[in-house]
Amino acid sequence: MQILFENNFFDLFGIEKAYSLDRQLLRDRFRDLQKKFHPDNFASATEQDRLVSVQYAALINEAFATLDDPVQRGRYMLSLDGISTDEELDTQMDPEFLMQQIELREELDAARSSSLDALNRLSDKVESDFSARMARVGEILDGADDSELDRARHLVRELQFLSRVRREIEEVEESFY
Amino acid sequence: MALLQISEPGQTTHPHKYRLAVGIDLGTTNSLVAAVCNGEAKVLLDEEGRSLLPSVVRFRENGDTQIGYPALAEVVNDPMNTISSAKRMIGRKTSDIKTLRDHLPYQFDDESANVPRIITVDGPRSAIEVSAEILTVLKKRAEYVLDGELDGVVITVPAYFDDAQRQATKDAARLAGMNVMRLLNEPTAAAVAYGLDEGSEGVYAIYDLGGGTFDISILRLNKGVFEVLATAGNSALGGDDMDRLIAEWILDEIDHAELSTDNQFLRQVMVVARAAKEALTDNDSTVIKLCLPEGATQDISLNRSSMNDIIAPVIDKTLLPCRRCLRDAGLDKADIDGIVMVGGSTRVCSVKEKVEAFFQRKLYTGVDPEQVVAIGAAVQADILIGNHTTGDMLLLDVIPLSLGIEIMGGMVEKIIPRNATIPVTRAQEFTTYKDGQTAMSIHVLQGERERVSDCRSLARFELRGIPPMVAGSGRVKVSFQVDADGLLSVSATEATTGTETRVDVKPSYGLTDAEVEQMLRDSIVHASDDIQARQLAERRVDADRAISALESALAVDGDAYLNESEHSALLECMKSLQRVKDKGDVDKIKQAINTLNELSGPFATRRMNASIREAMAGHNINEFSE
Repeated sequence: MQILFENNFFDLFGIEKAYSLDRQLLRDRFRDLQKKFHPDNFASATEQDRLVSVQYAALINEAFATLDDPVQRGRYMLSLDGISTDEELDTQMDPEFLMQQIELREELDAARSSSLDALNRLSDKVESDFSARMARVGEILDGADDSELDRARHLVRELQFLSRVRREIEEVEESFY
Repeated sequence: MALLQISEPGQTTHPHKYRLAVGIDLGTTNSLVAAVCNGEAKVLLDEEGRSLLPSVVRFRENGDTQIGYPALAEVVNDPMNTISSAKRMIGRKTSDIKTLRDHLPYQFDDESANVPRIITVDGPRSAIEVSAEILTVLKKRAEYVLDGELDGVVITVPAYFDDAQRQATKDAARLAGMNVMRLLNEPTAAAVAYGLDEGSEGVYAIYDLGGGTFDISILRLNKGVFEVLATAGNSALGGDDMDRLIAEWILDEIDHAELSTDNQFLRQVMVVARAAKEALTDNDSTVIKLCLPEGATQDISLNRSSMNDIIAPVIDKTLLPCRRCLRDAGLDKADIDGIVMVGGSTRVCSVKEKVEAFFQRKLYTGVDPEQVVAIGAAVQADILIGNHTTGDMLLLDVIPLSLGIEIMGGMVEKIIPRNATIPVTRAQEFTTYKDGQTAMSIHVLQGERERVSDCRSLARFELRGIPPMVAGSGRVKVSFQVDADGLLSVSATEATTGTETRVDVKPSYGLTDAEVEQMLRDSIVHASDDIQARQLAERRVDADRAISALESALAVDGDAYLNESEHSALLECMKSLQRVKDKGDVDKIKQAINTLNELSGPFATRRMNASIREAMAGHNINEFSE
């Protein structure tokens, strides 16, 4: 048995469909919904009620995780407009960005064998690249000009790249302890 | 209003009947059982007024198994048959515990077995059976103190337990004849005990160092919701490891190389090592007394600062997961409002000092660190059984380790990331890679590493019946579902031709259903009980549960979501279950319950769909009125 959910995630939480969102409100609404639909509420209900509640609770979790994360939120909003950010379907990237990525990787490799300070400097740089792109994505997605959506798609894909670098920086950081 | 009732089913089912439910902390070193009595959660004591049950089981030739203190007393005399720290072995393969085994005196049967069994004078025993023995004693204790049969239990597990370890714990409970309502993560249970005690709001880290496991969880407490933001840990690190380091130090000190292979002597050294560690909690120095062979004795003195140096590696090892947990939660140390210390090993002074120095935050040690987990589990049990005597709350937990499947080149593709809030479902599509390929094998793994060989293998299965097509056009959708216990189920669907093939996962680890059944038979033979009678009783309870839950749902929402013929079909089905139940054929009762469940599926879905629409509409109304 599958549940059918045809609304978008913003509707689920009753918040305005916008990239710039009130994270506190989102979290409050998320909690309110789980207070009603989490399987713990159905521990003594029928087996079927429990199964359906697991699916709804999972949907609410997925919706929250998607909207709470800036990259996921960008991907999701573009997908609502029928724009895919799937990497396998589109391998074209801005050559300049790719060059920067290669440089970042090299710096990461260098930091691995040097110091925590070098790693922190690299991390600051990635964070500022990340924030700048996030802000721009927000402007486009919340703006009125749909002709820029393709630019947003590129930016979201770049954000995906940067989040991967972020994770690698974290792994290198762990190796220092 | 009808929809409100859906969210509070506990209050609609027999509101006057108080049902018995307990929380159980199944620990590496000690186990406890707690229950909510008169609105207050408390640990249940044994006949001699003791709260702890040592997690030690001694098997004897005459089949008269000793559990708890009597077994603990024989640890040194009968090391091969007296099993302690079963929790460190549960849900692990022989190869997984190889390093661990070097420190254990036991002999294992089959090297290649999925479930290692220890050879005892009473036959081979797995960690699952050992745990079931401990659970049985706690169950009896609870039924004696509460004066009635238990309707349900909540059992705690380390947050960092993987799927196999959780499943094995549930199997142990099944062997002990318990209705497990939930496997609850230990740090979350501790947070409940603290949160309700102090009415706190904010972000807390729970540092839980037990006998053999370490967990760190970061939670946000807000208006009765306990939201785990991230968890990390090490399911093979704890006080036992400190004891071992101290024992190794003792062995170095005494200069009797020939004794380092003497199992009985080694057990004695472990026992005095632990005693020394405990003594140094309150004293600055202690004297370790050793009995050497042929009646000789030797005294060794140890002071606290030397011990701190000896055990430092264990404590330092806990700090890396703390760092990772903070990062996964997206927080800095400064965002944490306090650290809750849980687990017997946090009594060790240098643990407290190092944790305080790391987080630079206030430590909460108010509730007994050994009781706090059982207390929290009891509160959750009280809520899940529908009594709600301590008020309402909701626990939102996470999956500790990523789940993925094997892709080409022996690599793992992650499908559900660690620290995703549960329950969680994810689906992923895979395509055939050969022309005419009609089967696809799927290997499910758990862990953070990229290579298959570095992750825990959870299950392997083969999806057959894919219509032959050119490479890349056969599509298989693999769906993962992790429920609120953190347990995984996987199904795969071949969807190219519209004919769907479903496969359910058979675990490649742990016990098969048949093995559990056999153990159940064996254990009941031991207890000279009647398996048929027990199974019938259990099925009848299931039937009653199904009927009463559906009755109350129908009473509230039957008219709103069912037409007349659907309604009467359900009533008829319920009656027929009642008739089958009274007759007493175990299989037929099981079948009738399944039939009723299937028939009531659309009803459940419609109610819940309406409920979610209502909740969404509620938001919008709020918006206008604000």
